[in-house]
Amino acid sequence: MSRPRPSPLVPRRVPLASAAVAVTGLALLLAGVAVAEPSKTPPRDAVASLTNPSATLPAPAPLLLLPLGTSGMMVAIEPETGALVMPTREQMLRLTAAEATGLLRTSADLAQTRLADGTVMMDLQGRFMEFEVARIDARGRPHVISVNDLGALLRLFDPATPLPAPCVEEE
Amino acid sequence: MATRPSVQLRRLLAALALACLAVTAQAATITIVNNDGPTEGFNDPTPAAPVGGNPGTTIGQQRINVFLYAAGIWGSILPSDVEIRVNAQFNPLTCTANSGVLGSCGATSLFRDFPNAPFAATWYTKAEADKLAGYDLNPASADINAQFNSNVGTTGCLETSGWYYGYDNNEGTKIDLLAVVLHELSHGLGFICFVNLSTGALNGGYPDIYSRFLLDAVTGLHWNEESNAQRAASAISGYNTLWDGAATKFMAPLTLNDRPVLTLNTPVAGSMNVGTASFGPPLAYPGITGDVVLADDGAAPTSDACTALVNGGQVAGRIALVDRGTCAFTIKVKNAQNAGAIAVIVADNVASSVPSGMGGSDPTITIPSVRVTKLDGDTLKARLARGLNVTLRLDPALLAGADNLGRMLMYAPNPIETGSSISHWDPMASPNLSMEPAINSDLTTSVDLTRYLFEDIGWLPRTTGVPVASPPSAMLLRANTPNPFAHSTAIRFELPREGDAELAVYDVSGRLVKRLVRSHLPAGSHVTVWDGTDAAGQRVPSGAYFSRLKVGEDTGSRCIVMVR
Repeated sequence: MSRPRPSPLVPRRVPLASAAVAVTGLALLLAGVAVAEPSKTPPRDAVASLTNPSATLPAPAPLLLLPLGTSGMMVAIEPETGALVMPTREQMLRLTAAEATGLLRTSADLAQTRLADGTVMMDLQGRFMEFEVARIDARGRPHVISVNDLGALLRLFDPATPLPAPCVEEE
Repeated sequence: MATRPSVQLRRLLAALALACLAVTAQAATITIVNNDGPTEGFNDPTPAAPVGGNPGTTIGQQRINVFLYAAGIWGSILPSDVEIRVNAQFNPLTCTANSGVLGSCGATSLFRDFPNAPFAATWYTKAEADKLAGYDLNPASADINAQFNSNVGTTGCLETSGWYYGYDNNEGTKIDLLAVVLHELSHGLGFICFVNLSTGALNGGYPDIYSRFLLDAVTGLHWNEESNAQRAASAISGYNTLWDGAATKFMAPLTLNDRPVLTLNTPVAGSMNVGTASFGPPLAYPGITGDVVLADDGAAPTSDACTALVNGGQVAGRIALVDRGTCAFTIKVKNAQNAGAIAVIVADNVASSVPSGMGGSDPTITIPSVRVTKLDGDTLKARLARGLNVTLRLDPALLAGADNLGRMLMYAPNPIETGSSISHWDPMASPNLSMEPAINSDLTTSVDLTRYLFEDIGWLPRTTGVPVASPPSAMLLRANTPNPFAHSTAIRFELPREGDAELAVYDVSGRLVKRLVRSHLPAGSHVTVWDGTDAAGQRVPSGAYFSRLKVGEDTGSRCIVMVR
């Protein structure tokens, strides 16, 4: 099956808002069954679905990488320009769909559903997850750090980045 | 001056209070839903020897046991009539030989304006909303999603380490799965902020219950009262984002150590926060005072003290200031010690808002050492020429991890650092806490102050540190409950006014068995716990004992019966 393949030479530029929405949708679409707990059934007594018109689009992560299909292809969005680009080799971490979704911190496109008793529910669709990442230091000791954005996660995978301040190092 | 119980007593009280409440609370049922397929993850049939109290004989069983153990800890603490379901699975996650995603966890959904909601127009995680409503608001969904990396410890994935499945915190160079799961479950249960920290935007236009307790010390406003711009600024405000919850504030002095500080005496008075070392003697009272001299080892960079110092004549009898980098902290401090330094200040070489600790081990080091941020190090260096004199000490009036009024610091580094901001305590906390942004190897299975944060946000009834509406007219020592007891018993007392209180347990011959409280306390109701041990931590024999409360000239006593 052929898949869209962004050119590394001629990045396709799209407006930031559109790109953010597109990427979010892409992530969820591609996540498929890999998203840990998709909403399979409508909430009990759901009578209406609300969206919040006042919500603002959040600033995207420094570089959002998303899987494109199932072959390991990745597409990236630059937060400064909104451009869809091919990530560099260093940035090419093959996040799973569930990981990419879990790092999202936007709720602008998530529905707020009012139940019969007046309760309002927001299904987070696998977003707003807190991650734990381990990094082995030069002495072979693991450091475990909490992260919740892609930029932080990428930095921990970059051996050139010093371990962050929360870690107690030996030098 | 107000006095506080010793560090050991404070830790013990915190642990005991937790244990008591775990006993007395109506336990929640936390169900781990195994979402793994046959032969993978929780169902991995690979044989394994029981380890660290985990009796499982396959990798899969041991994983399940760890999750159940963690669920049991939280389930015994949090009261809920509604089952809490955790969808859990092990999958291959992003990983390299030296870095890897261990796992992730979070609430499946948020709820607001449900029956019995303490705050209107406020998001709660599903597990807490269900508990407060008294029924499952959305039975079609689990409460928490958790996913962990099944490849950890295999070729190409943190291959020199691996998961440790024991319960005894004896992980060595492996990764303690229990500590990670406890931490992650805490997030899923509600230790999490749903504000977009980059923009300050509220989730769907509404605050979450966690954010209501975040206090911006710059504006004096809670996050739910602030604009997006104010929240975004607070998220990177260093030590200016605080937890403003009564239960947590009350328990902080019983949990945290005194704050290590560097006091500037001359040429300009001031104070700096410092990180402490895992080697050498700890800071003490009244501390160590001396003039500061920049170390010089004669080899560029000359101030890193990685080789023997060449300015020993200047350093001897003084406090050496050295730069981080090139070699281990222990080598720097040992070189300064060999030159006659009485203490060492290590200035960071990387910008950070947090003065981290220093790891390492060298039993031959006999002088104290501290670490300051690069910014503070630059400040010290700029004052050397004017005759810099400092004191390195513990400040008994301040807590390591709280502001000067005893409110917990939240992690809000600027510039933003790797590590999840706001949804963690500041790493300046000492001892290390389970919800700091780094999971440190010295953590136990205690959930320390997280239990009290959960009390603040409504998971538990307000019982800690909340004065009664009308303080009693006289001091009152209530009968302990349960009595008789076998494992632990809660002792409640009420104070008519703020004052120094001492509560201790004596045997029938009048011998002091254990002092439980010696602290300056506010008026109102208080509770502490005795676990039937003496001051040395040894279990005492069955029999009759007495609790004795002394507040000023007033005293009271009660009989306690322990039956094993």
